[in-house]
Amino acid sequence: MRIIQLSICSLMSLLLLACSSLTLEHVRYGWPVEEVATVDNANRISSDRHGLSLSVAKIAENEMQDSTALTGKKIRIIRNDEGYYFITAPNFKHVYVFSPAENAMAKESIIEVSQTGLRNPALNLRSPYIELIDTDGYRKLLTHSDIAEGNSR
Amino acid sequence: MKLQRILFLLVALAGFAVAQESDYSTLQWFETRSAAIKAAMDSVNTPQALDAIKTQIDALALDFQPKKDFLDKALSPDSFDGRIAALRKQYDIAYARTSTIQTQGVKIVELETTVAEMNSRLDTLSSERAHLLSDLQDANKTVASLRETVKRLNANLQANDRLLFSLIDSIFLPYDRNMSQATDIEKEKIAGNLQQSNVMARVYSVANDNVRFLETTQLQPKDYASLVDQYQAFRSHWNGLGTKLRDVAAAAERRNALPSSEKKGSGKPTLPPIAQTPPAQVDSVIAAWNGTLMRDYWSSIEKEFTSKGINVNHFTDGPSFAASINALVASYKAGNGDVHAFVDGVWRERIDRDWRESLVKDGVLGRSEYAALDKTVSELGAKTLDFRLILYILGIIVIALGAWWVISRKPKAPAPPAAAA
Repeated sequence: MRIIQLSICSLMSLLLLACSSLTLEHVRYGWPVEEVATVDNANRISSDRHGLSLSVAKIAENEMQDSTALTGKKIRIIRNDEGYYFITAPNFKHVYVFSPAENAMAKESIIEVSQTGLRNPALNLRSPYIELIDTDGYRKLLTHSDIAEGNSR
Repeated sequence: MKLQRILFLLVALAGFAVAQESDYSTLQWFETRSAAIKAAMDSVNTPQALDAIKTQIDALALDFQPKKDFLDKALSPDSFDGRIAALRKQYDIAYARTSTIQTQGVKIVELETTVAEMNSRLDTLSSERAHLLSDLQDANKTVASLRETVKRLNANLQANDRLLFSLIDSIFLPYDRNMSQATDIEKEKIAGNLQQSNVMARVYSVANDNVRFLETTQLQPKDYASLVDQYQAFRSHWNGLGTKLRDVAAAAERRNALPSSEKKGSGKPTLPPIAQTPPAQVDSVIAAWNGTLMRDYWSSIEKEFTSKGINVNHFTDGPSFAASINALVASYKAGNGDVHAFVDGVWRERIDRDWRESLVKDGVLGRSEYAALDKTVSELGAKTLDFRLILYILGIIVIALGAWWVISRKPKAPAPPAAAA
């Protein structure tokens, strides 16, 4: 009897292991165009197109030291092919990079892109990078951890 | 249209000014320009105005061609080519619509001119008819002059019928693909035209004048055939109009029932009903026309018999006439009365010669029914003819025999004197 129980347990463990090792490769998460979303009164932004909804209060607190500073403002968000989210907005000095987590976004990096603050930024998918552009010909190519290429302001 | 163009340019320039290389701006700009073109296509009413829009579509396709790959992804599940093709298709539809509107507009203007002319001619005919009807009541006229008046009046009525229904057809013609598909606005337009042309009153007047004509005129047998045709054509036209008129009347009533704020075209007056003469009144006068015509008709035929001293059962329509003739033939077969007076004096001389043309019409007696009656009467005549022929031959034979007998019993000549000696 004990042998049978052990056998069943072993078999189940093997099956679970097999399942957990199933990995789909060459996935491209990139969004072809950024989402420009307005921050609502609850400090949240949402995208119907991508089925995404998140709070930006902590970004506001980090960037402007006021968790409600972004209310009513437009936030620009895009996802690169690797699956990282890039977030920025006018007057930001940084681009925030997050990786998806369970009911959350985990900070991957905060990339400083301007010392004076961006004026009218836009994010484009330029695989394998994310292109950050701003007025006066400002342009940088970003990876999920740093600036890969670009002029400085 | 100018305002639309200015707005369109402002939006386009604003999009460029924000960030010339932003994919998001590119997408927004493309969407804005497409939407502006669509809106412009919805609002234009002439093919000429659409020409400018075609140029805009071409420019849109050309301007965004370098961004095609990006737009294919950004517009997914749609595509850049799909959007441009949809705009071109909408352009084709708008072109067809505006062309139809323009063509119809021209046709409507032409037909409205025709309707106005017809109205004027109908007015002339009406006044001429009134004059003729009054002439007909003038007792001092000679028979020949009265006949001429009747002829002219009949021609007037027929011309009036034709013109009236041409007028009605012209009013319905621009919308006549199928009244159930016509919009309420189109039906309101028809209702307005019918009211303006006083159509219902005219229809009523024509039917009523026909009744008056019948009541004041002593008609000849051959006049009835054309009168029956005229009545039947008029009734058929009127029956055909019934559904359309009800549709149009309902649309006009719906419009009148709307609160003034909901009516399209502010300041548009409330539509009057199609006419002061309701369709039921026209139905009633058409029924009176038929009643008078048929009463005069059958009564005139009956007089053909009574004037020759032939007692025939009273009849008021085709079936009772047939029954009456069959009864008469049966009576003659039984040996009552002078068959010759009936067959030759009335049937062949009057009915077959003068009344057959109208009797054979459907709705009067009918072709097959007349043929059956004619056969019955002819057989009766044939039997009579045979009997008389036999009598005639017998008479001749008797006369011939008599003559022969007289000749054969001629006294013998006396013997010559020598032979006697």
